[in-house]
Amino acid sequence: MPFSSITFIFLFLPITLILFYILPKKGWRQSILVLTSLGFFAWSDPTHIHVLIISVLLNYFGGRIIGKNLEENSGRKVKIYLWVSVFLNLLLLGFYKYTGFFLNSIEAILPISIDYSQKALPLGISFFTFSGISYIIDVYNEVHPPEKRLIGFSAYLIMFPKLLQGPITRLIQIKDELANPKFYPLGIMEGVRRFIGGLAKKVILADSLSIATNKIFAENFNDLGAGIAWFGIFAYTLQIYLDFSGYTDMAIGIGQMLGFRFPENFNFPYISRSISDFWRRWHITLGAWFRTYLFIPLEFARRREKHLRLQSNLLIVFLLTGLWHGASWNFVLWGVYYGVILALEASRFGKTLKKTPPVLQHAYSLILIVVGWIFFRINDIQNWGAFFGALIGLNGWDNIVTFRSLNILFYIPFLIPSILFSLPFMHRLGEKAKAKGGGSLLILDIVYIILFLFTITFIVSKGFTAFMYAEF
Amino acid sequence: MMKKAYKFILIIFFILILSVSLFWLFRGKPMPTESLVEGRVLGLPENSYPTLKIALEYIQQGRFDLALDLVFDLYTSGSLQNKFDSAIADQFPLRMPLIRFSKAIDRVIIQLSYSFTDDNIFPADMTSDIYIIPDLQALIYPPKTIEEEDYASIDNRIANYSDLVSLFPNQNFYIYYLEILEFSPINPLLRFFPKADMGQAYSYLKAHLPEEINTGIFELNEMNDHLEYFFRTDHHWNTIGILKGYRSIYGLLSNNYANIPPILEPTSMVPFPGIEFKGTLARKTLYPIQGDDFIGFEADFPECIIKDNGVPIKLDFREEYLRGDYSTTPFLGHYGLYFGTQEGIINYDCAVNSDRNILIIGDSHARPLVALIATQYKQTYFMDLRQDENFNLTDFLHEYQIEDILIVGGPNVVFLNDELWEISVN
Repeated sequence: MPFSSITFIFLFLPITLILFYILPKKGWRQSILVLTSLGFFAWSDPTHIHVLIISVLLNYFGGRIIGKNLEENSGRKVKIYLWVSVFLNLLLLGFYKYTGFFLNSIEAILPISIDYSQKALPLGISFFTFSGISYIIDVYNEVHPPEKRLIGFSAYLIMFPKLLQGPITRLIQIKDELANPKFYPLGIMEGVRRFIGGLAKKVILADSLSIATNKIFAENFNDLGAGIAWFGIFAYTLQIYLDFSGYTDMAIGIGQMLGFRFPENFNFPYISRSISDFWRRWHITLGAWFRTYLFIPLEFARRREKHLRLQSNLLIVFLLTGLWHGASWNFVLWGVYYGVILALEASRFGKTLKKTPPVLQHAYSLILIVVGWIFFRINDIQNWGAFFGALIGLNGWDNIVTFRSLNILFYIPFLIPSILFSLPFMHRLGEKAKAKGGGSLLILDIVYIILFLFTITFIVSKGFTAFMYAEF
Repeated sequence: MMKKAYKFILIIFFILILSVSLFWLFRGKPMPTESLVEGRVLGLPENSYPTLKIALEYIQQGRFDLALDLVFDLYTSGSLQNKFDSAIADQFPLRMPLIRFSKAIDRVIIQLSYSFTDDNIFPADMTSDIYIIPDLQALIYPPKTIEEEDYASIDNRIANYSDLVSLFPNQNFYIYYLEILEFSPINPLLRFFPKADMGQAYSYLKAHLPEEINTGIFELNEMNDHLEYFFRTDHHWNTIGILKGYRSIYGLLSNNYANIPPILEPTSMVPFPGIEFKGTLARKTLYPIQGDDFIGFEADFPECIIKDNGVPIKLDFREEYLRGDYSTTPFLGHYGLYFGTQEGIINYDCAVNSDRNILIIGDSHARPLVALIATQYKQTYFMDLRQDENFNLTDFLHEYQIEDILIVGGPNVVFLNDELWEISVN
């Protein structure tokens, strides 16, 4: 049940909000969150509801056992329970997500044949598994005590707004709100604005661009001219941001309507001045997760190594970041690509870059980001060469495949609002209106309502498509 | 702070998201079951779940395990959820006005995008892949490209035709190919589609067909042919095209039919005032276009008994139209009403001076021809393979005495789509 479906917007959301608002006690509100979240998942992915329940129970009891042993000061046991809990989480993720990839890779290397059919990936498994691991490690590190009530813990782990695509939230970030779920009209109003903005980004812009990019990337790249190839990857660059940040806006907005403040996931990544800057602005909660639970421990564990420690740690972290995105070599290499660039930026090159004019820094970052999306979008590595060939004009500016032959000429104007909504300009305009209040705020809200009606018109007329990050 | 804040957005948003379910609850009349404009049945909760109805029957019979299995399968496959989503989308309040508004926005964006080009043919909307030629007020499909896998299908069809002539040497086989704009060399959008078929696939078929098969083609030589013989807003041929096709097929059949009864010529052409026929292309795009004139004809049809799957039926509303008894409601499917629709195998048993029988295989393009060709045969059978995927020619010929077999239609019927249109034999 995507957030952009009619079922969600006009049935699931109002029913959930009404139930949540009318229930007088915090425990009931937690229960309704758990029940609606289970219903949300069961509707979207009925065959994997048991995976979600296993994850809840695994992390709940894992946290309780670790907490109990911490109280008893049994250090060795705690470590064992920590590793077992983390291992079981990774096993769950690995079993569904990486078994096929692992066996295929073995088949490619060794002269053996393995009979294995790829299992369907449980929705959101990468997100709720990482939330579970963060909870276990935070309990171990005594960031917070283990959650005593199963309902309270379940509400944290499987809360529907963030269940399928994040933001990956640590318990500490919403602990107070979870303990005493409350809602305020101002928070709800802000949530409504955020939800509408995200919905419009997804439905009007990302979904429209996706039609164009899907057509382009389905073609034989040897038939693409440079013009359409550049349009394709540029449009994809905007599409993936608008799709994922649109989802995040909706998730954060629904969270606000329910009285939760989830962490931000994006901070206008395409205005970055370096790739390090980009990864502080793109999928922030995933970056924070890897930094907190992998990079910093790696740095600590290897603190005595002097030579290329930081660079090699960055490479490891980003290789795994790539692998987290998908079980295929293009994602691994996409991660390595960023690992190498970040390793370079962590060296002397980074200092030189900072001394160049800002416009060059932006250009450098944007070009590398766009190139990165090529690795991300084209699963078959063998086709990368042909696409790069098209980009540099080996097939000429125009070729057999054109805007007209694909019937996508009319998607070109979508680039303008897509660019505007990818830059801070529109956001600042909205913030100014909110700060001014009065008539400006009223006008802003009227714009939001018109945008909502317009978006619903789009959904009714053209349908809706799945979110891109749902497959990770 | 609260005093200053407007609650406007909060109130309107909640009214909007609640209004839809309240509309469904209190609309006070049954939900619409079909969309005339789109020419399709709409999803309804009770109609969308035939399997659920069966499950309820199982429950009433006390067979709970079977009911549970059935519902569980429906749910785990996602079919239950998908149908529910489709049904509530179909029943969304003000759905058609919203779709029309969205299409209007599409046209503004298209106009804006094409204002930088010198094109005179434009996409009619953003989703259908249909184009409008404003000067001619005609909606058209773009040229089609034939890929390698399509040629594999064509090879399968050729092999199938070869099997037919070798298995049934006593029957005459005819293929009448209706060239349509997408597969013709006269499509005005060809310059944008360098890999377009332009008739090559049919040429390939013809070059490889067994010589026992007699072929004919309804050829488009210039854009005016398309405008004269096809509707501007529909994918079908019009009455002028149908009559031209019939004459051509008559000539083809005459080659192996010495005493063929005389051709049926119309005694008069009959326009139907007030009808503005808006066909498939107009429905899909909702482009604000002048509808087509719909024209019928009078002719001395012989007395025929018409059966659908062996049951006598009234196949069409031709006589009512000719009497002036027709509706002028926009988007009404006049083609289907005037020329008829069927559910299974159609049989014309006509009082004509002939003892020969024919089997016609084709789609909706062929249906108007059946009544005309039936005037040359004692028994005329018509089969649309989409309606009976288990049709088997061997079985059919065991049951019925057939001398002539005519396959008539566009690319799908004649040489593409080997899964649906390949003729099964034992």
